[in-house]
Amino acid sequence: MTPVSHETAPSRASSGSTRVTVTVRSASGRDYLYDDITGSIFPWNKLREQALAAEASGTTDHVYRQLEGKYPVADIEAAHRFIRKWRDLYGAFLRVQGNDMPASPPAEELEREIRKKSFQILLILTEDCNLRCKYCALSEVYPYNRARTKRRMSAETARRAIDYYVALVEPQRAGNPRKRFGLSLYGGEPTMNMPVVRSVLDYCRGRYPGLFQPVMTTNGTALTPRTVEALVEHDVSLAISIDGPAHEHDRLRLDAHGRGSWERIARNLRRIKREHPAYWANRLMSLSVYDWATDVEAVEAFFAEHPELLPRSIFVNPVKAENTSWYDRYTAADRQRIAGAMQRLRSRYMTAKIKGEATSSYMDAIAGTRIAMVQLRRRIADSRHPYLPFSGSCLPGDKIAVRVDGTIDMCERVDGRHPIGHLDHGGIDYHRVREVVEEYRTRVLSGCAGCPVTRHCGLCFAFFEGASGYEQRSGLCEATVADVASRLADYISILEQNPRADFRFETDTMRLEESLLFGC
Amino acid sequence: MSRFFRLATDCFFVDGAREGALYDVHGGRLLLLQGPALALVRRCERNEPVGDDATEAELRILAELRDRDLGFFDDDPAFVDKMLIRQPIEWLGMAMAPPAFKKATWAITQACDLHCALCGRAEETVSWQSCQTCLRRDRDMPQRRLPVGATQRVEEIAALGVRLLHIRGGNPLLAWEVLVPVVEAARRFELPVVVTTPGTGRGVDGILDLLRGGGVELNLVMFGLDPAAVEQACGHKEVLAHQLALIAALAELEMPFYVTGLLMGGVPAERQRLESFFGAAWRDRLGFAEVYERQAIQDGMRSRDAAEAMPRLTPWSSVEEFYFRLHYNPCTFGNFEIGADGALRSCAGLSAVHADLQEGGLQRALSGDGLYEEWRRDPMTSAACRACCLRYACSPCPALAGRTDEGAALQAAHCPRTALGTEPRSPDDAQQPAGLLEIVTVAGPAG
Repeated sequence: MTPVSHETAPSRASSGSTRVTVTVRSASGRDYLYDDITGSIFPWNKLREQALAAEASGTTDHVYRQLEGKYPVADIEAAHRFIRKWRDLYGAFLRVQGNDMPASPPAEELEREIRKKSFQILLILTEDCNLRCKYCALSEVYPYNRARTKRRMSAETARRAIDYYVALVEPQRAGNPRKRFGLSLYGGEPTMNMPVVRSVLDYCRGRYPGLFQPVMTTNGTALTPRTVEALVEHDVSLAISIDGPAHEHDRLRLDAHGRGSWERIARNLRRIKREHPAYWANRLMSLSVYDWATDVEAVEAFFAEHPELLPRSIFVNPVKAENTSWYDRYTAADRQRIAGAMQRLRSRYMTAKIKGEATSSYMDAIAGTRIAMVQLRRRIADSRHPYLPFSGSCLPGDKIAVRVDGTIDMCERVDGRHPIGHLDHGGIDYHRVREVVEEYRTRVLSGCAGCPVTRHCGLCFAFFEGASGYEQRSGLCEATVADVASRLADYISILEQNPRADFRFETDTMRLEESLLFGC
Repeated sequence: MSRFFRLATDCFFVDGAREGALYDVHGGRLLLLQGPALALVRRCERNEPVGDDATEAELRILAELRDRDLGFFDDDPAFVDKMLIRQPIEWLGMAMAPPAFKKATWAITQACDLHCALCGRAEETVSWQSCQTCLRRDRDMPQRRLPVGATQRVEEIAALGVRLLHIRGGNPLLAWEVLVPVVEAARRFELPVVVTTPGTGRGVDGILDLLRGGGVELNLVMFGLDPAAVEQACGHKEVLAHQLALIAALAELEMPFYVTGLLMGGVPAERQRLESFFGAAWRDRLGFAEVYERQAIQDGMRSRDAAEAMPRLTPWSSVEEFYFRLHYNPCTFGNFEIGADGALRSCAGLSAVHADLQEGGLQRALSGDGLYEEWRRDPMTSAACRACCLRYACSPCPALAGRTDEGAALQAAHCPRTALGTEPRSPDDAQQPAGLLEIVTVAGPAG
């Protein structure tokens, strides 16, 4: 039986191979081994560990002789066969070093790849906003980022961006009639440019019916009845920033006069629910941000206790820590406090999953996502971009973010210092993409082949933007490995107690398959 | 001291209530569990310990599984994360992966020069694999002229990545003005074509001229080799002679072709005659389809021939294929049919209309969900099949799935589990622990 084809050729243990596994212990005290070659999790024990260590060091005969007095021969043989089987099939457990980074692709090849894979266009409809959130990416808090301005995208630029993108993805459309592409309406605050929002939505419906799945990210303060009607008409998914109850939300999300924004949002939500109940139920989502002063447990209780008002939570993220001094205001005690609260949320989440009890969407998003993501890890047959091996990053061009003036960035999370093209200059500059990718590969990815958690890695370009281009961040990879190990342990601990635990949750981009193997 | 036994990461246990199956993904083996073996595996999979009171028979079963690398002993209970080969992720409504189109079937005409008694009466008949033949759903169904020309249609189909274009009807040879441009366009796009026809309606020389350019093969629908039986089946006397002349001409020119024996009302003798005539070398190119009156099924008619011709359990040829079978119906997956009425369906044997090509063309028709739902396994298998532990080693024709009442007898005749009997035994069952049976499969009916 031929194994699944995959990128890394199986090999026997040899010098030049690195063990790429993580051993974790569940809450019951049982060990498991995660293998990054296959993406599989194996029940583990001392015998298997010794068998693998022997394989890795090429000392199997010696080791097995030593083991004969300690374990039944049949068990030793079974452990040996187990290790050999996975090594022979997939080169499991050990990754050969040195030949893992193929040569940088030529621009033409990048273009073909991008046109085959791109899935989303974001329109930065305005750089203006009616709020002055203290952690805003367009504020002085992030000195490398673009700054807030009053500039707005014109309707013509928006249409040109759409036309460009549709032409870009034409190779996909012929072979995938069902393919839809994400259209993200972004800002600043996109509702401050509603004429262009309406114009581009009308344009898409008329010229490219059914091709796009629109979603808008908004602060929720300017959702007037007329605006909402337009969004309902075009079935736009709406992600609204809600950081918590009024006192929590208004701590950081203020307008230019220092007034809180919560009441306006709440009024709008009530009206939307009253006038468009189906839209409210099916298309509205909450996005939340927290920092070390946030009482995340109180926020979770708020979401749990007010499902009638608050749309389901899909993303809960900390204030971004890179390239900012935001967290300098906090003390070690603050850090400890938030860590304790997160730990308690995690514990409650795990208990609920073990017991099969419901959890709030906020709980799922803040505590559950990291665990559920274990289930969504890439497996042996999932291909990666050949130019970004082992990285969780998109290829620039998988998404494109078009700024008000037609400049093209790789997404909305980057700081804007590395654009990849311009509408006025033919769109994506594939030579520039090659430069960006090469810099990223050289400066950031050179050590990834030895990483034991590449199939869980979500780090991308946005994490590694530094003062002088892309640069590795001290401790980030180590912290990632530790976090993945923790998540694996949590995941396994839940399933040990409840093999039918339901990790299903929804975000705006993914849904777990309805039925996994033999779990139903 | 208690120990625990769990199945391996790549060994899947499918419980079928009265029996169970173990699927050894990498080993390609399928084991049937019954009685004590089934009960034991169930207990082990619940992490119940294998205590000191385990019987010798039970220990022998577990040792057998361990020695086959299908499971392992351990001192502690374990959670076993079953192996997947891909992320279990579905991008919300965005269909990130292109559909893997395999075959496009295009019924270019409703017209037929034969008068087969069971053709065109889909409501009154039950058929198996009629998609491989010229059988029509409704002989009175009006044919609609499609809004685009043959060349454009072929170009659209080729752009989807389809690997085969299957032209059928009625009798496509009667729609020569459509067939020739289709074949020529397919050649330009390097799209292989198979034309299903009884071979009538055109002279042998004309047919050979069409085939000479390459890229197209015939699938000849035959009703048997006994002239009387053939005449009874199709209503014409000279059909068999014409078919034999065509076969001789194709053989002389060494042009490959397929044959599908269309058995009407279960005529076992004609199947045997066809198999004998074409011989063992035709195993991969000789297929069979059957069509019965529903009433005959209700009256208890069974096809003894079908009982022998049933699809066997088919082991998966690759790991990818195993996982594919978990979610998709191997019969419908990747296929679609453009009917003579302009409707989009999954295949000629299924009636659900997914779209109308008159409204927006092929791309628009394929943008809906209906077709792809019929590619999935569960909607296209009967309740009985969904409860069977051997379902992932079986490829039932979904045309039978919805007819569990009228077609129960026919479906049972095509069920590999039924063929195994109530007390299946492997050839060397003395070596097997009680209740543990490695199923020996064959590739298909002896040919």
